[in-house]
Amino acid sequence: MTVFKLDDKVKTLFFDLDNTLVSKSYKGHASDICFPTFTENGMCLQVKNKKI
Amino acid sequence: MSLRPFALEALSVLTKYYEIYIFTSATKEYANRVMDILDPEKRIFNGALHRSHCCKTKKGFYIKDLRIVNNKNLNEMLIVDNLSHSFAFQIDNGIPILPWYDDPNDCELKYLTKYLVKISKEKDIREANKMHLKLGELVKKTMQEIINFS
Repeated sequence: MTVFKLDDKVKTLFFDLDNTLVSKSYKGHASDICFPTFTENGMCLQVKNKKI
Repeated sequence: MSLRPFALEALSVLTKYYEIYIFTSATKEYANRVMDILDPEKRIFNGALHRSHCCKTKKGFYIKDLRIVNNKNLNEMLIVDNLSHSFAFQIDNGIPILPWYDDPNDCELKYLTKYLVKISKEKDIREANKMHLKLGELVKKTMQEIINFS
């Protein structure tokens, strides 16, 4: 197991990604994801030219 | 892929109180790509821990063992995860959150932010979690029920 060293300043908060901060309804590769875009349901990420 | 409601607002507030890292059981490439999207100006995240930093059980579960961090004490680290087994080795450092899939009315991150701000000044963050979340007691109770049942 790799040991990880963090900046030693204040308290540290780790966030999980999938189903905590984001949801992967899209099954493609992460490199396909472009920039966030606002929709009527909040912010979504856009996959190339296709909104998901 | 979608961003959970209040995610950016929550992260933006919490950067004032914590150093924030991603800790995912996904690959390094995925973690970095999503982090770049969520935080293109690198103002929120200080870095990412990923699959190679997790312990994998025989049954294929990934555990996020905070002892991997060698210059921080466990009393000053928290992990927010929808999978409670992720912080099984340090249950009092964990904050469970309901999994989010696509509900646009989800407010969990909004509520969680209030709690995280409230406990940010605690000397031992685990004591605050013990008092408010009582996950250790829940584990003991569940274990006792399993023992009684068998």
